[in-house]
Amino acid sequence: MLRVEDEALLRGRGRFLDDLDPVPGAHQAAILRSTHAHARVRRLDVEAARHHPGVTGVLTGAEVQAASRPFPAACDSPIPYYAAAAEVTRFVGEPLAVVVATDRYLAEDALELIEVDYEPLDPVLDPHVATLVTERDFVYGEPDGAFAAAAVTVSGHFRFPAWTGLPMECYAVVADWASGEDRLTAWSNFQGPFTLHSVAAAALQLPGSRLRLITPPHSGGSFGIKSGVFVYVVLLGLASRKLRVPVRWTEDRLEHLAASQAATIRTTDIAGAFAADGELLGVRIDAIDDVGAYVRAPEPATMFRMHSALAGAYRVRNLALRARVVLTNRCPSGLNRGFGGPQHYLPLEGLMALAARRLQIDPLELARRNLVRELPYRTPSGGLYCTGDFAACLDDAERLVRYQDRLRERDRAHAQGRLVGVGLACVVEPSISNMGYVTLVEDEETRARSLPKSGNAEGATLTINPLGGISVQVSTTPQGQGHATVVAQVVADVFGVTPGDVTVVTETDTAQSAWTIASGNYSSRFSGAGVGAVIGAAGAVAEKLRAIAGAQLDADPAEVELRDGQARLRSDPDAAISLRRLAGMAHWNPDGLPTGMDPGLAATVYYSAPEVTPARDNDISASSENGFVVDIAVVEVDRETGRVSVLDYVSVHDAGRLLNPLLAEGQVLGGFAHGFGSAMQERTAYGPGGELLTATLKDYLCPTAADIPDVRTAHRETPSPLTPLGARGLGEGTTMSAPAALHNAVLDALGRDAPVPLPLTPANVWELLR
Amino acid sequence: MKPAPFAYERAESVEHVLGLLGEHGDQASVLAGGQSLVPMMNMRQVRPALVVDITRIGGLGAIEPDDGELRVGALVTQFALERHDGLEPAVAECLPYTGHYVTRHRGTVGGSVAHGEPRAELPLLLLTLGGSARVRSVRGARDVPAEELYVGAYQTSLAADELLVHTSWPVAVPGEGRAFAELAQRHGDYTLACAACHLRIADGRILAARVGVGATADRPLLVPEAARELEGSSVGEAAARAAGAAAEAAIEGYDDLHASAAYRRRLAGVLVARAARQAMERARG
Repeated sequence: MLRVEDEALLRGRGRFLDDLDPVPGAHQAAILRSTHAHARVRRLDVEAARHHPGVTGVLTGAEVQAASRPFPAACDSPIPYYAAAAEVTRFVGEPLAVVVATDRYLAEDALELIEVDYEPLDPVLDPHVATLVTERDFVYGEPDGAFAAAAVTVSGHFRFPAWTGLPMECYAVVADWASGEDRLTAWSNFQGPFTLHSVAAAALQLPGSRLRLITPPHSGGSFGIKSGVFVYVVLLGLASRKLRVPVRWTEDRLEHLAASQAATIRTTDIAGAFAADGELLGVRIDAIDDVGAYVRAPEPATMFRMHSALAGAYRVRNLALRARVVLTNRCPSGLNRGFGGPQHYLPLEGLMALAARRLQIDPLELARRNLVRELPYRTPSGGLYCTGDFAACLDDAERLVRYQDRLRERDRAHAQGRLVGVGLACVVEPSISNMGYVTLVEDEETRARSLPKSGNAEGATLTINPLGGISVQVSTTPQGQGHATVVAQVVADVFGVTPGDVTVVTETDTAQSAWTIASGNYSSRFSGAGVGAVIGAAGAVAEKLRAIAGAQLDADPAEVELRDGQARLRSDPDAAISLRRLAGMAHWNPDGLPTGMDPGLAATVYYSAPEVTPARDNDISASSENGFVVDIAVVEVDRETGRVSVLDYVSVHDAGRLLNPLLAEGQVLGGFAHGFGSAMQERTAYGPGGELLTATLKDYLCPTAADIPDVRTAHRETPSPLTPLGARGLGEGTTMSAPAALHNAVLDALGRDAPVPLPLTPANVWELLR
Repeated sequence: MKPAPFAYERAESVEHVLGLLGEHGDQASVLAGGQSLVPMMNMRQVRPALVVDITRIGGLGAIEPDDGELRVGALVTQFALERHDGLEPAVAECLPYTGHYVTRHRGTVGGSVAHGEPRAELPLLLLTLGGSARVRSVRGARDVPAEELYVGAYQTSLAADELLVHTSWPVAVPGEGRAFAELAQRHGDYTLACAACHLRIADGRILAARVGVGATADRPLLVPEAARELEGSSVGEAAARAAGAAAEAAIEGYDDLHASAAYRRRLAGVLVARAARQAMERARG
């Protein structure tokens, strides 16, 4: 089935927030941003800007801090985080003031009139000397014993580079503060409400009901990055409150690259204890997450998102993790596709590749000896791998890539002096996050004092109107994934109509939609949690229709089936009532409904996934479901230039039942593109003084369609018993696996016994060839 | 990302442009394709007081042979040149590296040559082929050889009141071969380094050669050291390698986020050798 979203998008009729005018007469904002990575702001003089023609007014960082509370996060931070800096600025691009004018041109002209007197302070960019926010040690099994018993110990130092998500559409906010009633309505291309609606409301000191957040019909992508727009909901909300006008702000690309949201930079020292036959006996991980200048919610979650999959796809039960989170003078981090997965699997899968070389065991064979064999499998740190066959996926990938042929081709190429390599990555892909996993940042005692957390629920409302039309409103806030298509499909199946008969509303409005603390678009939660709520609501209304039809046809409702736009008896298809007539009866004549039935043909249902519970000691089921991915990359390195070309790439997934194969393919290819970018080209770079070196798209190199190699995919569909339709998430797996597979392929091509630094740019790889 | 205030004039004729440039000098910027100027204005990296739009002027959009040269009007788009029948192979292989498919539909050949971006492909090729630019002002007209065109990054020897009206690209005669080679990190990116080679052979020997490299300094450079390795040598791999090695030794390169000076030197050498190989191939016919 094709995407129902595409007609509007392909005809240029998408309605993005910048196309909409939800509050006529909104004034336009431009934001003054720090040019220093770390500086004291000795003076900020906005007088000239305030008096510039067309300027409505100026909001300073000091005013922001006086009018709001610091954003809360899951852990205490020595440095409070506000929507704008006042006395000290801590990253290039940090907001210092907002100028509001009748148009954006005048606002930017006025920005230039603001005088800022900076006293530069030493920036900190090295995570090893940065401000420590939190440190926790986790031990499962007996890692010391495992290392003592090891025949071979392998270790490596890995750094996952700074990168971002780069949606086509940047952040956008229209903020309208109703001054008499202390109420903020904000239209934003946010991907929540998620926990961040509460975070923004807390900063504004508003009850959540007075922060009304509305998302537009279309979003130009997010990849996690749009979660950070909540900071600007607060900033522009305060500007609207002060200046008593609705305020519109659309982020430009310079602002986006400097100051929207980074992916977490992780530095990892990893060691593996191996038996002589290749059995992985124990793993030690020492990880430092650099979350940038402030702990921006939901950080420090990156560190713990993969916690129940610490050993990935492997059976090893002796694990040690030292988890540290630090602050540096960079743009704050937050959600980014894969969220913790790419950072986790680069060292883990890199370790396996290094070990295979050291042990002289073929990497596929080494993986096969260590893969989890019998599912369901409870991981040492509390996760559940419910169903699937990891070894069979590995076999599928081996066949798909023609592994033995590839090895022969590699060896022939090496004999000719060419550098060809083959790399493997095996990845457990979590989906439907448990909001409670971030509480691992607290020790058990602290955690016991706070509210237990296992949030993951999603809501949906389904309505049938008097003419029989079906509408569904979801709170999954899609950013291009095609949620409307899948919702139309599954609802059509429930009611026996065509997907075209179902209207899906994906705009989220926190004053109207059915949502929870977990609602939104992240952790590949749609196909399980989002669809779960939709199926629940559809089922409730369908049951009602069957009951009404049963009463009309004088039959047991269980005998009624909904097909071809009718309710009819299984035993006698001629005994039928059209959906339209049934709806009309319910609306026009509540009195005629079966005894005891509530009027109305609508249901709001919430769905909470199984296997999601609060953390217990140091155990957490961080996600409801876990899929499995095997990638194999074949690359060639140009000996003269260091350029890496991908000769072949296969990606095999077990994401359970695929609700829509076209969308599934899109998610795998998009996930690959994101992972490929982080491995090969993308990086947010700062100079020694914290100056941003990748301030434009001339220097921040996101791969384009022309640069992305073909990926061959295959699926093994083991249905999940945990989700209503047997689906698992699959939007992030390849983002997690691709950097590791590409890294391991280049490692193999170069014949190295130490990790290859990412990104694998020609110049970086050439340095290793010198 | 909005430009600072500026005035705008849509020019009716070359004479109209020359009058405006004569009057406003370096306060004015000429808008042709706008693929560099407009982003730079939006980022407020340049703030012309007056933008002179030349896109509606007739007579600057022709591609025509002219006494052994191909004369390319200032407003010919990069895409139009790319699609021109019988285009010289070296020019044909250079153009796909010039920006992106989309930007080439608006970006002009004249604009690229006059902008003086040190990593740009067309200036390097014009230099290596020994081409020139015709410029006009109210004071008169002159031809500027490409060797004299570039004085620094985004700086040309054109006076503030001069308008580039066409570029002239010498056409290869039998026995001549030219080639262009480049490596960019992504399709359409600013190049890490690029190289061009132009040579003439007879009886298996290289009689004359010009070698140029781009993205290794503040302007495209001729590398006479590399040309000397080719001149007088037999056509073959040894000459190509020697030219590459000579180029690597002769140029300085520079460090930036994307590559070290050492990498740029090596890459330029590799690309000089590749361009030389291809040029020899073409010269042999």
